[in-house]
Formats: sequence, structure tokens, C-alpha cells
Amino acid sequence: MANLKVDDIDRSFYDFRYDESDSDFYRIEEGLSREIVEQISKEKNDPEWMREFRLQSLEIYQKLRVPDWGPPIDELNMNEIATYVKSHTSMKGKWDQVPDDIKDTFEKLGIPKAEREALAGVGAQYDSELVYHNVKEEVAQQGVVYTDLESALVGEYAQMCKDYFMKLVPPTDHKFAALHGAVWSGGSFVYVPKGVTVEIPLQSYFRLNARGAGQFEHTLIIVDEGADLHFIEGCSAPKYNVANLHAGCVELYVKKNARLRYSTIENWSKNMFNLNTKRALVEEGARMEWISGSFGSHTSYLYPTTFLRGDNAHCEFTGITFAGAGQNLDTGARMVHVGKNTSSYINSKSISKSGGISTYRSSIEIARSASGAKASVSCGSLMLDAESRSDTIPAVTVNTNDADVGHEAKIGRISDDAVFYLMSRGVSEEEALAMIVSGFASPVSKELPLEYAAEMNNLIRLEMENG
Amino acid sequence: MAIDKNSMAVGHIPSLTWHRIKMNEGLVPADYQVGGPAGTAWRLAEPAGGARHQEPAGLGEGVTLSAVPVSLAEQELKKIAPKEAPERFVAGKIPIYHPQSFGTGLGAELDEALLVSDPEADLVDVAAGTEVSRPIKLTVTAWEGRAQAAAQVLHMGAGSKAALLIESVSEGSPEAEGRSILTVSTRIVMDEGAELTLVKAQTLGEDFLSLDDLGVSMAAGAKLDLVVAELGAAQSFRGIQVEQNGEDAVLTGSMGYLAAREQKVDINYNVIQRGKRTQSTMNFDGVLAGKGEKSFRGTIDFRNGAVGAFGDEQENVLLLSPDIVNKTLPVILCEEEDVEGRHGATVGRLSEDMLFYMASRDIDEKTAEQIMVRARLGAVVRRIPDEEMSERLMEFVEEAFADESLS
Repeated sequence: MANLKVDDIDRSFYDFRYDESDSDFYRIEEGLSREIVEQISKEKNDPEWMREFRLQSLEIYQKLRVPDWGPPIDELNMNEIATYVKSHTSMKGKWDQVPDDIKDTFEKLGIPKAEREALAGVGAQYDSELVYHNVKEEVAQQGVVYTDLESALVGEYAQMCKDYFMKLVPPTDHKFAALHGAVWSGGSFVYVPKGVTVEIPLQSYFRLNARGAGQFEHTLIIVDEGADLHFIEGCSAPKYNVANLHAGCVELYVKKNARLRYSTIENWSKNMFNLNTKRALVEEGARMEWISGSFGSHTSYLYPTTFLRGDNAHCEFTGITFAGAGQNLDTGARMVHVGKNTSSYINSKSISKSGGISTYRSSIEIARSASGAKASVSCGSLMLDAESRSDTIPAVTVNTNDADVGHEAKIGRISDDAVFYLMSRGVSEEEALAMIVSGFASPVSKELPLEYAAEMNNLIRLEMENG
Repeated sequence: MAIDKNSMAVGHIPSLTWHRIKMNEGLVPADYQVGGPAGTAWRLAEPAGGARHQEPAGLGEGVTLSAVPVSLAEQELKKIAPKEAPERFVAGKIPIYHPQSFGTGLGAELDEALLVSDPEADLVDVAAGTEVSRPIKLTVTAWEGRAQAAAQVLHMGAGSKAALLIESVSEGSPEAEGRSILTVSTRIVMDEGAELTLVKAQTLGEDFLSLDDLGVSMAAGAKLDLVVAELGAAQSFRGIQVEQNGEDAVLTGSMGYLAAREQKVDINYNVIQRGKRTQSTMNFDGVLAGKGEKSFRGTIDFRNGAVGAFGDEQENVLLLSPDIVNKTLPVILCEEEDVEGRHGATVGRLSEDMLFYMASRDIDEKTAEQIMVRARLGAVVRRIPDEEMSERLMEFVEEAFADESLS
């Protein structure tokens, strides 16, 4: 088992955990084989097409190579990862029916409180399966469907699921998309009918509690024509000294004139390999907004991708990455312009500290058909010491002259003058540094609901206090 | 990425990205060969004002020129170059997959190809303290239908000062029926306080395959002003690598390029800033027309210890036709806190506002485009400290854009 020696900050707020006993949890044997995939399929009562899909994905996984262009992932050994861990409890629709230890975990993370105060619906996944799912009555009455993907696969929306599942991210896309196709479990299905505006956000929270395990949830969201949704995704895990793996997949379909905002605060523990894939297909006149905060994980590969297929489609990506000690976070975005007069804007910030490595990686691709396309990229990187590393690798491909693409990137340190100015007004040096870093991150935090902005600022404060 | 095993991959970016977007390196066609020697003519520029003086023997006092095989030039380079072992890692963390003993923009594969063919290389030594008053000019002449190469190793002694203008041109050759190829390799070692203005211009005929490589090592206080004009050839690969090893080394520069008709231009620029307070500022101005294709990879690599360093790289691309392909990959690698790095790129056609302004002065779109091309490439060419050469290059641009089929 790989031993991940990571100096961690005091993040005990997220590190509490309950040991999982055999009597309460079912855990599939470590490794990846046809037998294991068939066993997962059996456990989940898959329809036959899904069983075949999993086995085909496994074959693709075995043929594809590990990427050679990103952070090293040699410490990740699939033979030491349990791909399926499930509590013996079934998914509940009422919070008091959830087992105490799991309930307590989510209580500590503030999920039920947030549900009461600020959310239209909540899904809570613990290890490989959802343990709680609920949507507010008035939202359900609007026709909004928010359920676990397993239920959706066999219910009223079975055909819709089959039509959309892993069509945007096919298993052939890359090795970990194929892995996801083989062993996916849990996640959410959301359908917002035509013209419906969901006034307050829906949220899914993913907690990977098991040691040496993987989480492979699949989120499938379809926002129909003219509809509007804000979906929030949160994730955390307690820290172990062995590798855990997250290879989730998010597929978002934003139909004509619809709008979808997808916000993520990722705070996996620092033994996590976060090899996640997120993709959106945006139709005519529709708008996609990604808000992304990456704070946790040992190693991350995360590049939300948007296909602007319809004319006049628009996408914005606002993201921040904070790489601390022992972390190698490779994040960014990809925008593919296909429709006419499409537009995209990327605003990315990264911070490196205490030996952390952050890499901003992106690709803007303007197809020949995308006449009138406009794309703009702005990325800023902050180096907080000389032990850390920060790289910026943005690519632009333009296949028509009828396009305007602008790109700017800056890298640097905190200005001594700014710190001196704040200190001259009675602010301590530590506070001054934290204030400046929070200001640097403000383009992201101001886009988040208040509770999440507070959590993000808390994470920044924790990182700044370390060292 | 599946690479034709017969192709030579050059101009590797120091830090790989997605293979799918095909920007990690340039692929030289499989029929590439180094071939025999190209014609080389060294001389000093005409004195200012056109007054004729008797030419001094060679390139002036304190400058020596000798011709040796590339393999021997390699040994001479090792004697004068900084003594660090070939790098195996970029900034200690990312493995280099093509280590090179003396870094150049096109990389180790071209070095190896040159060593196999072992054409002649010119060794130029500018003695310490020498100030060469007039630019040294080298014309590399390639004949159509042949593969040929020229290599130079230039040593700028401590405190020396010179301008070197290298121009690659081609001439017709009715007998030859082979592939027209020219390879130029230029490697320069600048000792402490040396100052060099370096111009590299390429106006080869439209059938040519051009590989033009440059590697510069800069000691403390060295100053390099670089002007590059990439205008001719059917397909060209341009490599530029500058390593700022000493404190306060300064690189300033401009590159202009043109990809019209079915021209393909591949550029790899890499500046490695190791020394304290080193500075690099480089502008790339390009025009794409017809079915022109361009791939630009530009990297500023701040190494640990480059305290107070500054690096800037800007690219402006004017797109004149719907059939062009433009690829841009501006990279910053950084492992030092106290640096300031930035890059920017603007890619697009003439703005509606500009066209409206021109139209209000009775200037049609085609003429407006020609004015902008002239302004953009002219700004680069005018930096060349030799009127005759800059006029010739502007004429080349004018002729290229007089052709209606370009845009």
C-alpha cells in the first residue's frame, strides 16, 4: 500500500471519522477485475445494458495508458483500492432514519442545517452509495426531478438516463473515464423541466469515509429549455496515510436558453487522488457557469470542459486552487466553441505555499464554424514562498479569422508595499497576508452563496495559518 | 500521441500538456535530411552613410572566423559553454524527456541529425573587450532542390559588443529535382557583460523546408537584443532558447512571422531565467493569411534562485482568412517566489472599429489589411540595424501581400 507521507494542516474539522465495521458495511475486495465489476453490477441491480456497459468500459480501461503529461500518480495502485464500499443502510428520504454515525458525520459538515436554511434539495453520499436524498415539496411540484442515479435508471426516466449517460464523457475519453464507466456508483440525476426556475440551489455532498477506497459517483443534470438551476457539489474525506481515489464524472446538458450554475468546493483529504471529469454541453442561447474551489487532495486532475454547441451560447469559469504542503494540483478548464457568436470567459486564480505545486492548464478551441466567437482567459498565480511551484500552461487553437481571443496571465508574489501598508495601520503581518490572499481569491468567493464563501475563506485561513 | 516513427520531433515544450491538442512539439516531415553545406558569405555591413572604405581583412580586429566540421565545433562549444551537466529535470521536478548538453529551441534531435551528416560549421570568436563597430553579416544561401545546412558557434568574450545579422535566402537551381531544405543552427555563448544584437531572417523560396535553431547562454550582465523575421519557405521550424545563467542578464526581442498561401510555421521559444534580476521581454507579431498555419509555443521558466527576475512574453496575431489555423501555447513555469512573470496573447482579425475608421477615410478593407500587415511586420523589421537588410525584408512582405490569393 502506498504510504503517503503528507504534512497536513490542522484540518480536524474535516478529519473526524468513524471506523467502518464489517457488520455495518459491505466492502468489495481491493483491485479491479471482471469479477469485481460484475459483482458491483449485481449489488446495484443494474439493467442489462448497464452491466454490458461496465464490462466494455473495463476492457477500454485495460487498454488505455496512464497520462504522461500531468502530476505523477505512481503512488496510486488500483490493486489496493476497494472500488465499492456500502453501508448496509438503504437510502433514506428522512434525515432521522439515517444511521447515527453517518448522520453525525453530515451534521458536523453542516449539511442538514444548510438544507433547512438555503437549499431546495440535498443528496448525501457516504462512500459508494447515497444514504439520504430529499427535495423540497414545492420544488418537486414544479416537476423538478432530483434523485439518485440508480433509481432514475429503472424508473420513469430510465430511457432519458440511457440516452444521456456517459455520452458527453465516453469511456474512451481517458483511462479514468473508462474506470468510472466500469465501477461508477452513486451520484445524482437532476431534470429541470422547460421554463422552470429553481429559485434556491440543490446540493449533493460526497463523503468518502472508508480507508483505501474509491468513490466514483456520477452526476447527470439536464436543464431543459428556458429553465434555470444552481447546483452545488461539496466533497470531503478524513485523512488516511494510504491512497484514496476519487474518479467521479459530471455530465451537464444545458438546453436552449437555459442557465446552469455548477459550484464546487472540493476539500478532499490530502491522501486523495482526485481524477475527476466534468463536462457540459451548452445549446443555443444557453448559459453555463462553473464556480470551482480546489483546496484538498494529494493530486488533482480537474479541467471542467464546456462544448458551446449552440449559437450565442455562453460559458464562464471562475476557479481557485490552493496547493499547500505535499499537494500537486493540476486544474483549469477547456472551452470548445462550435456555434456562431459563442463566448467564454475563464478567470482562474492559483496559490502555492509550503512546497505545494499548482498548475493551471487550459485549452480554448475555436472551430471553423464558430464565426463571431469571443474568448477571454485571465489567470493569476501567487507564489507564497520559494519552496513551492506554480505553472501556467494555457493553449489556444483558432480555426477561423472571425474570432477574438484574448489571453493574459500573471505570476508573482505578495507585494511588500501592500503588506507594509496594512501593517502601518495596525494589522499584524499574518493577518495582512491572509487579507491579501482572501482578496486575491475574492472573484471566486463573491460568486458563491454566503455559507460556501465562508467555508472557502475558512479553508484559506487554515492554509495560511499552517507554516 | 501517435508520431510517425520516421518523423523527427523538434521544439519540445518543457512541460507537456494534452497530446490531443498536438502542441507538445513540432513534427518535421519524414523526408527531412541535413544534406551538404549551404553557401555562406561573411562580411561587415557597409559603413553608415554609404561611404566606401577598404574592407578590413576578415571581420575586423578582435574577431576570428574559422570553419570546422560540426562535430569539432561541438567540442569547441563544450570548452566555452557553462560547465553544468545536461539537465535531466525542468526545475528539479518535471523530467526532461530530451536532455541536451547545450540547450537550443529545436532540441537534441536536430543536434544528433547534424552530427550524423557533420556539415561545416563556422566558429566566430569576438575577443574579450572587443567592440565591433559595424554589424557582421552572414548570408546563408540555399539552392532549390537540395538539402543543405549551415551552423555557427559564436563566442562573445567578456565585455565584447557586436551585432550579427544572419539572413537565409534561396536561389533557383534548374538541374536539381530533390527536396529543398535548409537547416541553420546557431549557438552562442555570451561571457560576462557581453552585448549582442542578433538578427535572424528567413526569406526562402516557397518550396523550402526550413529548420532554424538558436541556443544562447548568457553570463552575468550580458545583454541580448534579438530580432527574428520568419517570412519565407513552405514549412518552417524555428527554435529559440535563451538561458540566463548569470545575474542581471537581459534579453529583449521581437519576432515577426508570416504564414500565407499554404505556409506552415512552427515556433518554439524558451527562456530559462536562473540568475538574480534577470529580465526577458519578447514580442511575437504574426500575420496569418490564405491557408496559413502557425503553432507557437513560448515558455518563460523561472528557476529557484532567480530572485527579482522579470519575464514578459506577448503575442499578437492578425487573422486575414477563414482558412487559417492558429495555435498558441504561452507557458510560465515558476519555482521562485520573488519574480514577476506575465504573458498575453491577442488573436483576431481587424476590428470593426478599425475598418470603419479606415472606410471613413476611403480606405477599403484590402488596403486596410495591407496597412496593418506593413505596420505589424514593419515594426519588427525596422529594429534591424542595417537599412539594406530591413528594406529587402519589407519588400519581401510587400510582394507577398500584393498577391490577391493570400487573403
